[in-house]
Amino acid sequence: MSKQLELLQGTLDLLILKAVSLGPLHGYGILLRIQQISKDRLEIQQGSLYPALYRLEDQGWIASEWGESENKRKAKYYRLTAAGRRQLQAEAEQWNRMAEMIAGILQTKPEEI
Amino acid sequence: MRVAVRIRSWAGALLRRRHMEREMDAELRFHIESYAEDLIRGGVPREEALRRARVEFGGLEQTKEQCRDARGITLVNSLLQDARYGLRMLGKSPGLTAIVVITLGLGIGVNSSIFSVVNAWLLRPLPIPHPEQIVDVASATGNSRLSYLDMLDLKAQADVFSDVFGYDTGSGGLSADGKPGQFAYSAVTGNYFSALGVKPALGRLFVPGEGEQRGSPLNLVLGYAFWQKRFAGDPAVIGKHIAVDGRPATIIGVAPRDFHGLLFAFDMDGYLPLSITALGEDGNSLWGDRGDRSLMLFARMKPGLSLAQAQGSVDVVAKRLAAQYPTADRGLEFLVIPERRARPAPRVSSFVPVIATLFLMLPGLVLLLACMNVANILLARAAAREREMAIRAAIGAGRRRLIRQMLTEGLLVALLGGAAGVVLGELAIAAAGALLRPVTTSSAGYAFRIDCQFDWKVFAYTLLAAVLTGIFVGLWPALRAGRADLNALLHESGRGEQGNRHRLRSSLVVAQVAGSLMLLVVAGLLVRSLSHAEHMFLGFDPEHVVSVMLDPHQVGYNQARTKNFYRELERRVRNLPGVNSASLARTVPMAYPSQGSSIFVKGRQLPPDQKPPEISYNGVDPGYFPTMRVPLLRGRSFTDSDSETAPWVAIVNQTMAGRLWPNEDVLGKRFSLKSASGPWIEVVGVAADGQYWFISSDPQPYFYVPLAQDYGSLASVQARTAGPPEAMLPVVQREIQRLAPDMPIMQAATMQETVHGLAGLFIFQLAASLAGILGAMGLLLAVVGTYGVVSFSAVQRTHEIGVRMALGATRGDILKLISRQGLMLVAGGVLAGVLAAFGLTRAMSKVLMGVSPSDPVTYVAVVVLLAAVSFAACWIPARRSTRVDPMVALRYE
Repeated sequence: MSKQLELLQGTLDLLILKAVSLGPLHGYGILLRIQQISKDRLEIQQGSLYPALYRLEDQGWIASEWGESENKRKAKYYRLTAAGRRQLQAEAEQWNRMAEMIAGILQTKPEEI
Repeated sequence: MRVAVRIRSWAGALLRRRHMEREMDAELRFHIESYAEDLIRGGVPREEALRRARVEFGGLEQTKEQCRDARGITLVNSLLQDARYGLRMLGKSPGLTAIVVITLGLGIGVNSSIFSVVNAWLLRPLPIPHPEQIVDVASATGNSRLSYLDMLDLKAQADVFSDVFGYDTGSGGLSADGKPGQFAYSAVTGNYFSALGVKPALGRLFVPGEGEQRGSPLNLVLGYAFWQKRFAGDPAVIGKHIAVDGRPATIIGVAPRDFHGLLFAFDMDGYLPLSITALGEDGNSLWGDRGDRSLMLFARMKPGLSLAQAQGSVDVVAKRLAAQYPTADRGLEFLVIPERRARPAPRVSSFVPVIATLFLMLPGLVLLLACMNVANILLARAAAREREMAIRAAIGAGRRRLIRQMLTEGLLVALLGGAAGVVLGELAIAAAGALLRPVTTSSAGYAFRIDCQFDWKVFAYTLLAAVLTGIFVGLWPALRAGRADLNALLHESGRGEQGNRHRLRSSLVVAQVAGSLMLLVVAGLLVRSLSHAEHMFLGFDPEHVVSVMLDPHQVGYNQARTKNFYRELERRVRNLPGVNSASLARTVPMAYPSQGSSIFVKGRQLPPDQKPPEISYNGVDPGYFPTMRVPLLRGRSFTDSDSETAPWVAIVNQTMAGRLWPNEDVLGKRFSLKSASGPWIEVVGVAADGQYWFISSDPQPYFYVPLAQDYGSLASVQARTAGPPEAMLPVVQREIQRLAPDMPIMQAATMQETVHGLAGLFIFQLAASLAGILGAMGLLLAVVGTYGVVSFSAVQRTHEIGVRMALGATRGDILKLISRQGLMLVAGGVLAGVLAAFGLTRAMSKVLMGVSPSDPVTYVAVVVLLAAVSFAACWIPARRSTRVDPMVALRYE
């Protein structure tokens, strides 16, 4: 297992939106999904997940309802709303542009200047 | 769209707060348990798995708080919670809460009652449409009044005004249904009511132009209160025939209940046409003489115009008139003053603003002291609650949340204090009203009315004061709570105050002592000033003198009959048993009315831009000087030969002599009341200075002319009595009735009563007693504050005292130890207070009679009093701490 990376500021929201875009999930499930997709390379403070969820719901990007979990318990499931889908798309594009630009800057060699 | 979603989320969350809390709990518990189960499945033992799940999750309470924050409901939610918690804390210590609320209630109550007076005086608009358009148009000289012709010129030429109107005040006899009586009225121009926009409560009001010529029918509009009082609110009074000053008149209407006329602080009994003031021989001068300046003029400005535009417009008119009528209107200047700023008179004497400012500042100081006291109490309590705060912080309450908690508690007590303040303030106003009534009803026959009801402005002011107070008293403990160092606090044994908090509370004590010293100095100076004013030489001797004011004009006497009446009356009064001497005078000092005139000195040319000086005078008969015991310093007194046909003479006072003829022999000098070319009045004597129209610390110029050479129907008769003057008053009045049975008596009082009346010592007594009450409150607050700090610190040091006593310290040592600290604070406060008081009282010199603002007697007395009382406040707790049993003290806590 490679060394865990600390989450970049502001990226938790993006990751949550991505995670729930693949299907409704409860809070713990979102955590597991992110770890799974990132192959355990991201370190997320578990408690910090929930304020982010509440904020996203407050902004109307995700919606929640109570359902039954895989171990037959009541759990709160989050799903992406239409607004959330647009937001995810916009944020993903922005992130990609930013990443490309940063990568481009970092690959610059002295003779190219 | 997003906004709508958020509002729904916020509102939903707020409404289902409890529900949301439960859901949040369930959700987080599910997370932790699911994680623990996964760990168990991975082979971790159950206990260890649960522990690790909780640790890795992080602070549960902090997470919850952040979730609430994310939902945006934290503020309201926690405010409610804080308020509920705060109320519980207050309920837990009802005694302390009561002290805090009463302290703040007193502080706020004093402020709201003073403010309600200021509100009634300066802020409340007239009860008419667009009161902001009404302006007072005053002359820049004399008594501010203008002539009827000035009014017509302004109406015609100043296009900034939609209407210009005026009135004069008067009082007269009103007999209806065979009952004589007195009433105070405004003689108004016909457009008075229409320009103000006043609608009748009953009948009709005057119409523009009505009553503006000689011999107009006397129509009377009743004031609402007078209608209720005199006619029992009978609607059948409309059309009723009555007599005003013996002349037939008709009641045509009743003014609305909330309209009291334009004379500030008085309620008009009725309104008569202006023609009532133009009845006598000189009755034509009102309509045709530019120099007959007897009207108070007002105007309604056209909508949307500024004051500067109005002033500019009347300036042009004044210049034009001055050029057109160089004799009468020389140097004429109009001032346009918004009606509210023209109270009580357009150009008031200079000390009114000083007194007003002073009496707005002093209650502010009392409130500040009350705040400091309460802040002190709350700080002491905060010290006791420091552990609670630390624990709350430890289990996840944010710093801001703790600060907010303390602020909420401060606001809670302040709002309770504000409510108490409103109640106390209302009581104070009612008490003050009862106190004022005897003084105010005896003067001049006008019904005194200052409407100090609490309206929304007073409530707004009180609320603002309460909120500021709450922030003030809550802030310090709040900042302390915010800074609380968790570790240190939880480890500390709980004994011994931390240094900087102690410094904070100590500086509060210093400020309190200083503030109360300032209050006491102001009170002391005003009391000394009152006592000085009471004992100073008034220019006459008010003991054993009665004065009764009459106006035979009111029952229709003409000039000859009036003169005969007075001559006969004086003769009869002089011959009454128990009367040593009697006299007649136009007026007596400190009684309504006063008269004054421009003075032109013979042989002295005034520069064209300079106005002649304005000097008050009195018409008196030869008996006046011995009866009132006015000392004549030089020259001769008046005699019976100074008749109306004899050469005109005058007796001037020292100040007038010194001002008009410095370094010259004043006897034989001549001056005129009419013009720079005579007719001349010769100075034949010099009288001692005294107090005249109102009590003033500056010497006023004044002169006397023989009553015979200054005819007027309004005059008063004085009698110097051998026995108590009160007993003589009814005797004199009976004599008047015997001579003229239907003659109304306008005013009957002993000179002592008059001297203590509105124009006399009353204002000094009022100021002194108000300042005295505020000073006493300040002293009480300072004592409580000092006592609180010293006794709290003594309790905190119980353990230390025990140790010291066990090691052999005597009671005297302990007494010294504990009281020294308090006395140092008191000394610091006294020093700071003396310095501040020097600054504050400098502004008071105008309102002090015969006392310097830095009067050493006052300062020494106040310092000694404050020091003695504060010493007791230190000594009592200090002594109590010496009675501590060392063994008990060592086992303490």
